[in-house]
Amino acid sequence: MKKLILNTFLLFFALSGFAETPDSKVTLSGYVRDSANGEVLTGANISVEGLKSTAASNQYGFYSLSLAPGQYKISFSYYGYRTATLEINIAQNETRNIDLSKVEEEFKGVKISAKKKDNQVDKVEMSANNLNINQIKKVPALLGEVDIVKSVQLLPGVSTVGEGASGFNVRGGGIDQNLILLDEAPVFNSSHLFGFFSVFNPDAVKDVKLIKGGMPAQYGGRLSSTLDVRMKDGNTKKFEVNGGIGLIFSRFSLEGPIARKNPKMKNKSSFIIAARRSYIDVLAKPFLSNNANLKDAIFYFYDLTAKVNYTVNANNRIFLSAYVGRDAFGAPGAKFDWGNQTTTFRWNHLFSKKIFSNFTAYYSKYDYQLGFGSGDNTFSWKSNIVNISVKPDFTYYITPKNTLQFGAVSTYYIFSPGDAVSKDQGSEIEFGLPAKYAMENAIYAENEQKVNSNLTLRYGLRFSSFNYIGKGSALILDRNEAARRADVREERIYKSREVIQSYNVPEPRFSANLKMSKETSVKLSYNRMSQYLHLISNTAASVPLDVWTPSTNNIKPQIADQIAVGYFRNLGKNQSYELSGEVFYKAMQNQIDYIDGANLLLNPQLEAELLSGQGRAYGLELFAKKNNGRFTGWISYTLSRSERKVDGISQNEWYNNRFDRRHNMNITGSYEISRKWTASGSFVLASGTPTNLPNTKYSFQGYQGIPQNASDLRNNVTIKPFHRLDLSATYIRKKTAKRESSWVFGIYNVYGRKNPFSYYTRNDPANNLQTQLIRYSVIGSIVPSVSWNFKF
Amino acid sequence: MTKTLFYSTLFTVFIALFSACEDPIELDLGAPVEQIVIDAVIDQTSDTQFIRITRSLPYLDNGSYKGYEMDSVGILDTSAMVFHKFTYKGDGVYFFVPPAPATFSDGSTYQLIARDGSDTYFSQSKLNSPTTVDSFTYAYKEDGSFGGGKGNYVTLWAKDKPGKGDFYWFKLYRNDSLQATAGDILIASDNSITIGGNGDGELFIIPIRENLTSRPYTSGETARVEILTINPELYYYLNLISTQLNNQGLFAVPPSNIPSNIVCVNDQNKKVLGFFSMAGKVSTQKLLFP
Repeated sequence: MKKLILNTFLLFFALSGFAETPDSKVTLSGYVRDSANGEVLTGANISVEGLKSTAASNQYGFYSLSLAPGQYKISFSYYGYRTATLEINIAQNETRNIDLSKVEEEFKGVKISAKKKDNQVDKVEMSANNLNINQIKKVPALLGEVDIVKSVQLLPGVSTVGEGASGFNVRGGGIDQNLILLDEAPVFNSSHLFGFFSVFNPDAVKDVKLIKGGMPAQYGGRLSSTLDVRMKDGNTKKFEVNGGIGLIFSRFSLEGPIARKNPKMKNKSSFIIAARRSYIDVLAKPFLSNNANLKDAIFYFYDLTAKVNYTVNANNRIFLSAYVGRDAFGAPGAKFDWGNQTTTFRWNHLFSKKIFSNFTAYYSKYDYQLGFGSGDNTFSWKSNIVNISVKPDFTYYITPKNTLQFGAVSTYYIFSPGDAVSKDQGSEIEFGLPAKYAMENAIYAENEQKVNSNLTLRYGLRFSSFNYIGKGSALILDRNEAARRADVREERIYKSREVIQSYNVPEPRFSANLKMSKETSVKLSYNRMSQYLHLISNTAASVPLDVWTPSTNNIKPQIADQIAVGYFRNLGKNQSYELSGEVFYKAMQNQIDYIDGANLLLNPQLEAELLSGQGRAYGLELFAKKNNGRFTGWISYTLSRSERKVDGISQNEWYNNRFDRRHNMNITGSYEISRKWTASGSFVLASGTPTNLPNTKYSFQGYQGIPQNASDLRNNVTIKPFHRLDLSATYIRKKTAKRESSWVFGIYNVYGRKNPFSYYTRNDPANNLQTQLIRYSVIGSIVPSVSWNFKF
Repeated sequence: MTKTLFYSTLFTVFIALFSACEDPIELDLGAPVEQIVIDAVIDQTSDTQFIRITRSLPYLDNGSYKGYEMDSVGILDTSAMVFHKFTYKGDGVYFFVPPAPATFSDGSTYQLIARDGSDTYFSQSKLNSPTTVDSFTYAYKEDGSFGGGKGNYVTLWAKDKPGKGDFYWFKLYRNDSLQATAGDILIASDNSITIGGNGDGELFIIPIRENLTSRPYTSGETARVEILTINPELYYYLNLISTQLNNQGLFAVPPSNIPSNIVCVNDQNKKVLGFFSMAGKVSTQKLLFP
């Protein structure tokens, strides 16, 4: 193992081919920040006049440029900010922190032509989308609630099985194949209220990045995407209050400097705390009081996000962030609640002007509880997944042409699939499943090399290793017949920390950018991803009850190989239009499927009911985006397939996945009518998803209408297409440097379409002898909304 | 069952909150393939035993199931090597009157053999002994343990048989008619509903003994319960029927076919639906509500 690590690193240094000795250069480094609140800017574009190369600030706003001593004109640009130009005569290593100011802050009737120089053409990165929180805020949202996950769903290659479904599907992958990170800690369930709202409070989020392919070696552990959500650090200059009152919930956030008056602490430390709570339960009460089943119903959710940071000195900065969110739902005698908790500690350390490092330690937990009954007769059930991780990452700005990233991650998992207690007349019976334990480790190294002014390469390797460990037991299975329950031959018991099963997966990563002209580039990428966690769910929409399970001796790690080719072009005088087209092909191994009628909850022999198959997804994605001007927005179109092949299912042939959407088009735009009014709209049009329906029925022992799909083909019927138009208008009542107040009026599902979420069969409730096919629409009408947002 | 209760409550709130809607629609579900359905659950009592053979219907056809007559249908007692032939009564129904009380006895294995031209359908099942009923009581309550409002609620006082790995099926007769909607399927693994870690030889848990009906009884009505000791295969089969018939809403699982335990011995590709099982049956007395 050690030898392998060493060899890997040696290989990188050999490959990076240092054309210039680094010693002949000096380094200009520093942080890029927002001038108004001191927030660091991630991915700010840095270009040196006369040199064709560009650089970007990293996730912590840090940049480092190696230059030959001399006179330079360097520009720093960022979306929505005025470009800053630094003229510098550099003879030795220097640190310059750059503050950029927002365009709108200077907008006082004067037209400013400060434009972000877009770098999609320059960057080696492909299959990725950055969304700034200001862009997300312009997208019309259900009940006026700005929603990160819903905005992500408008991007090319991203789809969902329907309104109200939790999570999202990327390039034909399952919802558990997305690594959703909140300040580096994974979030296991990204939804409030099943799937209507996402768990991220927009007031606490700075930016969001979705990576669907060409995955940097830094990321791993999920097959299909990484959604990297970064929280704001908090205003280092002044106190700021943000909030909003809407129909579903209210938001409130406070941020500001810590100990500002102490001269030693000036601009050194800040905090943010943001909270949301729904009050639909309170509002709905009068309407539900006539309904016997619902008058005492409980349903609410809340979340709390907090973060502090402290700049110790020029070389050290620490951050502590935390999130807690909870949904509660119930009726008399029944209660159910669930939520995520994350805590992240990070330490940025500069070993030198050229070596930036970040050490992260995080804790993340998702849990749910379910309880029925009262007094002496109750049933309760708890389940959770916990992971604790440490993760050092390093960026070495070796030469202007080579940037090496390397690091490691080590994660310890505890899975508690179900702890159930049934109390019957006061006597308790404990049943449930024992906890499972696992350890996941990975090391990676990746070099970004500017081969010449037109060709940039990024190549790396991530090596991941997973150990399923005791204390626990392993089922030894015999599967005699495909797609039937396997027989348990033996149950082997393992002691604490004893390795039950190990897996090692080398994951090569490669991306290339060939610039055809100043405005055009062609990119290519290949990546292999592995995933050792699996969400056990066979419902159309994932439910909070779904349980995560590790790879075991029976459940092999999921592996995906993806290749993508893309064409990128910027258009317009200020390159204000971004166009791109990509094709991808993704092959997936060890995809979990289920025997007919599998029992997934509290089943000690669950593994005997799981099947394993292959998946494949391929498609074309087109994207056009206008970044600036009075009108901004984007159009995306995806033509894709997502298929699966499992022995014993659908006559052993490839069949369409439940989340396959052939065509998927999204249009979203926003127009500033005047300084007071902004109008936004979005339109979604997508093919229906496939579903499994019976074509015959029979009766048994008096039970009527038992469905049977005699064709034996999985997902044999396609649901009708989905389309929806949403509109909103924002009225800025007041906007000064100190105060802001605005109203958002929205209409969701403008023409009241009953989009089918699913079809299912049932016996007619009025006549049990008759059967029906039902179209189920989650939202069956127009949903108007109004909300008020403030800032001071 | 808890899952069903959970989802149904959830579902009600959803419909209320988001004006979610369910509309019956017509859709081409593909050409239906007519399949033979054999429905045979035989118990050890001296009651007349029935086997029903029908043909499946297109899913959206609301006509009645057509009976299917075979050349010979019966049960082979593998220990005594006696074949009990069932007589065709018409409309797909075959019957057999046991000549003696122990015609079908505990612990023995029986085979279903049905001949139709050149095809032979076959299955095999062991007969497990019935459990016993302590009592079947009722009480007037303001509300049931699982909702339902004011009225008479019944409680089944019966225990799981000693020893792990027993499975039961509870059939409720209300006014002498079997309650057979999706919500009426009630099965047990030892004294609990789901498999794993249950109490052994104990009273059936509350969600079984008090959840025999969601609707209270009114004056003049009658109630009776049959407890059948079944094989795990039939437990799974009924569990799948329950899942398929209760499969609705946002959290519906993809419908899946329910595998039969009956095979066509001369042509493995010939699919047959339904199930054959022997069961040890015990019945409560019939309650008449005043």
